[in-house]
Amino acid sequence: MVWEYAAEHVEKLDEKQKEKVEKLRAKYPQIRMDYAVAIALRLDDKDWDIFETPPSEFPGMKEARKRLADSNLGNYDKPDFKFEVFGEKAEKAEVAEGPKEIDYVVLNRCVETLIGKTAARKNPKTGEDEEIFVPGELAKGYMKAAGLEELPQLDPAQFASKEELAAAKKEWNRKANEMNARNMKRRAEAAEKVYREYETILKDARNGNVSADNANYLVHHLKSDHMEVRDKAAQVLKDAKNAVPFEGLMEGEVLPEIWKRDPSVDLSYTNVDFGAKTEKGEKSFSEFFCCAFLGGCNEEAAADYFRLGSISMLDFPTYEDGVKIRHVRAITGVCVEREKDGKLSRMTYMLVDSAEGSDRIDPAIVHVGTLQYTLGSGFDGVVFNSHVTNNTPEKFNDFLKKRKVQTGKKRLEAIYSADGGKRYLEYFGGWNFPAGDAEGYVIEGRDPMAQEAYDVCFERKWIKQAKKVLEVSGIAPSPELLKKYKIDPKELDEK
Amino acid sequence: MIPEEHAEAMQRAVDGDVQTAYGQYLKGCDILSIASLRDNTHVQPQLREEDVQAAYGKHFTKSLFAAAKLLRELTGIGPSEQTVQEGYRISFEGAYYTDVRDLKELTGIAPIMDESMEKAVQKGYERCVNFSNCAAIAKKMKNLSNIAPSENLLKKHPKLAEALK
Repeated sequence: MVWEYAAEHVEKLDEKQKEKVEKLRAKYPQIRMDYAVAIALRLDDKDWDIFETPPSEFPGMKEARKRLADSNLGNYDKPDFKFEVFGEKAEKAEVAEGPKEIDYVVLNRCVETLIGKTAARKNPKTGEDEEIFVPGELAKGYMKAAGLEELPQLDPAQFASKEELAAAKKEWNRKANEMNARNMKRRAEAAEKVYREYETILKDARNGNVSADNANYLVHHLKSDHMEVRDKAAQVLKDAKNAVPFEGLMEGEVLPEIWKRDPSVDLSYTNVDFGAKTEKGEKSFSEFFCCAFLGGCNEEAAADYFRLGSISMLDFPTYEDGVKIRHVRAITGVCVEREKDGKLSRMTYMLVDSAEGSDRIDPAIVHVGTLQYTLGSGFDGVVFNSHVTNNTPEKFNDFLKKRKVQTGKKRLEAIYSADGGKRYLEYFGGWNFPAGDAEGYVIEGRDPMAQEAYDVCFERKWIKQAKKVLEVSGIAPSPELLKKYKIDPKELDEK
Repeated sequence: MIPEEHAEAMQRAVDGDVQTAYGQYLKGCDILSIASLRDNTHVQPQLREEDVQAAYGKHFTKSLFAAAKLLRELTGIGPSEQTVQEGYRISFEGAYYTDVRDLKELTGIAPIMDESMEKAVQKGYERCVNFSNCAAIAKKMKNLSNIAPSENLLKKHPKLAEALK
């Protein structure tokens, strides 16, 4: 699927865009080819700086950091915020089960099938021993997409005499031979490129000293980079999943995390809809079903978010077949409240603009994960935007409605770097200065936020998550809640 | 909660952002966004006189009189005599007689028919010769400016002389 997209769209790239793809792949070898192509197609020159500039050096970022510190929210958007793993298995086992050591036999079988292998042979011309690279499925995919030439067949009906046809056939054969030589060269170059890209890891795997990180990288990227997943390759990938330890996360578990503020990571690893056809019959590319991310009608907002110190994202990924898939991404912002006279109320709110993605993640996980982060970052309240348009955020809001979270109106303002530009946040009506009155689901005060989180945790018997709430907030569950769910407070003290 | 000792600095910072945004919107003649931002933040726009005058100039050139009126309401700064006269000059030059009328209605300032304004009116006459409704426009121009087309112009364009008979 991935290569179909890349091969189909690579022809649409102009020279400048091709150069971008090359640069991107050279700087970030972990970026999948399809993403590199999609990014080159989608991102304007003006947005390309997100790959060229470290986030800390964006204009206004220093000012944004200072404001976060001044507003007591210095913890916001720090990737070292640790969440607990959500899921039944995580609740039952202290340490998630998984392979402890790399199974090199399985890993190498996977590598050979997908990337390729080296083989010894005698050079037919010189007779000397040499090592050749036998391409695997992935390398074949690269070779297929290497832009091979084709020669149209001759139509005998177009020639007046046999002599003319013979002459044309002779010329055609000459051209075909030349073209084949060029195609072979291109295919060899493509295979060589794949080999070079994975060379170090490939050799380490064969010698049995690959690091767990590299093995993970290899397996996960092979899966995501691979074209066909229904054949033999699919089976070896499935086996390889169990051949390397992976972050202790098991199928069905969710580990919320703060985005990395790194476009090479944050604009990939996602739940994409490659292969979906648009009305025009073209294959579409969409990072999420959300207009503010790549592929959406307001996709320039995606690049913009990287530059804004007080915008962050909460990701809710899972592992499926050994590949990390980000199912839900919540856009969050730091807001201050204004009174009617324009004075700040001194209250700080985390605005959850929308939780976009697929509906495969339990909204309760998004809710509790968000509350843990809100409490841990030091906010005084949280506002969930109720003016959302997509299916997933609507379902999330239905969940809040069922939980009887109060709706309210708040006059909020997102504290951005001071360039005065319009920013895309649905809460404030799309492209606007991020300030205004809006309605949403509001939890005001740290104690109500903590009690709401406990309520969901106790209801679902997520004791580990409740402990995390206690750890980040320092607020104990109310006696009413403990009584309602028959929870012994000692359970929360146990390590 | 924003610590007490930082409250003032934070207030200044977020108000400063709003003022910066006002400045940007003014440059882009986006007066409706200024109004919306003021309503959303209750921060009064504090714009520089020269920037506001430059904005009036752009508005008059683009015939945006309703927005210019809103700008005056928002900032409390009216267009200067010089900006208004420049507005008249441009309007006469382009034979935009409705703009002359609207400008007078908005500002209450009459055009000063000095030498440069007279030249602008003559240019306006010359321009309106090309219009199919030349007669009607020329008559309006004459009524608003009290200046007739020059003899040279009438000789050059008998159509104009015919129209004003």
